[in-house]
Amino acid sequence: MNHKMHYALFRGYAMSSIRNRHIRWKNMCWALLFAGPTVFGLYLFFIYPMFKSVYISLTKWDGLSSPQFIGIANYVQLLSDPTVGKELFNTAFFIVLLVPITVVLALLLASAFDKRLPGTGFFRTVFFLPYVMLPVVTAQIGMTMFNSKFGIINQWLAWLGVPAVQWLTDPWLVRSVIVLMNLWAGIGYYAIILLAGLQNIPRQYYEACELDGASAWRKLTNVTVPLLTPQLFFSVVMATIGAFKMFDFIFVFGKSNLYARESLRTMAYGIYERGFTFLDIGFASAEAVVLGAFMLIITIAQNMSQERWVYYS
Amino acid sequence: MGITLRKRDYLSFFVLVLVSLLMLLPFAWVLFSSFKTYRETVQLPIKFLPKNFANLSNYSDLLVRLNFLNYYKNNVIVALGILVPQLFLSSMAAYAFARIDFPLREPIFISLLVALMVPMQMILMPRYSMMIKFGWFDSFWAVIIPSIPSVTTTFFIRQQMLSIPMSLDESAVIDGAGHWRIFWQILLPLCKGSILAMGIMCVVFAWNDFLWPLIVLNSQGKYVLSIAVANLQGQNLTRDNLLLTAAILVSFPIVILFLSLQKYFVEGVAMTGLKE
Repeated sequence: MNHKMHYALFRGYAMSSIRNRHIRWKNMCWALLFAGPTVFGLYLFFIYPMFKSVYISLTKWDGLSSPQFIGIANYVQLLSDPTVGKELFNTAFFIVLLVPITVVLALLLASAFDKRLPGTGFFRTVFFLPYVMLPVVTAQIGMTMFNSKFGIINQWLAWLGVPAVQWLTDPWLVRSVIVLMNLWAGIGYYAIILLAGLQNIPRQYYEACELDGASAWRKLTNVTVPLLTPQLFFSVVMATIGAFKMFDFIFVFGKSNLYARESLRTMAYGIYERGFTFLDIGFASAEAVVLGAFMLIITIAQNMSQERWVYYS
Repeated sequence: MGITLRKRDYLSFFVLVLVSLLMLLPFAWVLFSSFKTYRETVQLPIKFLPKNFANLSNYSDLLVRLNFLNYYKNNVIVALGILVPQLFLSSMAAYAFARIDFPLREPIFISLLVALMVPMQMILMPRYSMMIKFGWFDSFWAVIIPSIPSVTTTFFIRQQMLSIPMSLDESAVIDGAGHWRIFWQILLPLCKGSILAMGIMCVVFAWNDFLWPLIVLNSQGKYVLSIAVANLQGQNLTRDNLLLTAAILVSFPIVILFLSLQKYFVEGVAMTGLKE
């Protein structure tokens, strides 16, 4: 018996002699031992709760008594609740604003990194650093800087003669502060991802463009973007998911500021508040299912469009 | 290098320097504010620089009086409690999915990818009541155990294992090695790269996680740093000097980890993004 066959037998391939069946049985035990804990854990803590959520969303439940089945009443209520409407709006707002700005700025940054200017390593570190900070801390830094009375931003504006801006109470300004802090925290990460793609683009393509006298814009649209689509795609997906899940920022900004809370509340925040402050768990689960469905649809849609416009060389 | 610089490159360099300064500004604000007294944070006009750079009373206040040493300890327990079993069990699962043939291997693996897409908000409430049923509510078990199984870690270690040629296993089998020895002595050392990258991700995730601990931890002595720091923000009075000093204390270990293992760090992050 040659060693390839020996190995095939060991891995449990092959025919049905008693010896092989024995090996197959042994392999199953090994697989159970190796993969069992992780597979069991993932089913118990992720996949089962996901389906359970769908069931809870069809009940009225305060977390203490036993859940009462009420059909789709929670979903009907969801449609008519103005607060949920606001949460939907804010979630959409952050996605629509944050995703394109993040990706475009990150692309600019990545192409600056790609020029291999002196000190690029240092710049990369500086831009990436905010990404590793705790989101809670990032939010608090923003909150203190933009505090209308004691924040440094208004102090500097005052020097320029600008009267105090109500950064944290005006609904649109506080949303902009959230966008700004998200950009601060995320841009370095997306730049690093895009940079990896840029470095894979052969220089000859650009040289050929230059020989043809192509403008910088044409180089961007005809070489860079098509060859960078996998990374751009990944960035768009990650940024969208991140915006969908935005919770920590809203929690911190809204904790001691009712105005900010009401103008910022996202779906992720609403689910937390309904489920754990108001103990309306059935209703919160319905909102969670809707959020999950949105995320699933977007992931699938993005995956399908990927086939159409992503160019993998 | 300097010779090849063109005019436009100088411009980009200049812009990079400017924007970097802007990026560093919040860090400077945090650092300087940590040396301020409470009076300095509410006394108009607000100054960017503290009066006295040697004022470390905020630090000692937080660490001793406000119990941050204890929260540090809690964070370390939680992070290590997740890290070690996650790396061990995930690489074992990765071995099974990469190297052992068993019925339904592919369907099971694909079904796990579902767990990757589930948003935390969607599993929050059932998991919470599960923790209560298990009697884990308000204990570290509730924070640690559900975070141990990980699709991403399993997935990326499996990827690296698949790239290792089978001939290595083959010769080991000829030498009489079993699955355990192939896993432990041959494949695991060769997967160091992805294990390290995933390990860093796991620590950062455990250190920064907020929502889940917020829900399952109740008594103050068991809080982790992210909750402790959020709690410094009162309904009425928030002391910015303490808040921003806490920001430094809390992120310091992760920043050091990042700066010292930057290569692996970026590798891990580029593969997965920080899980939230």
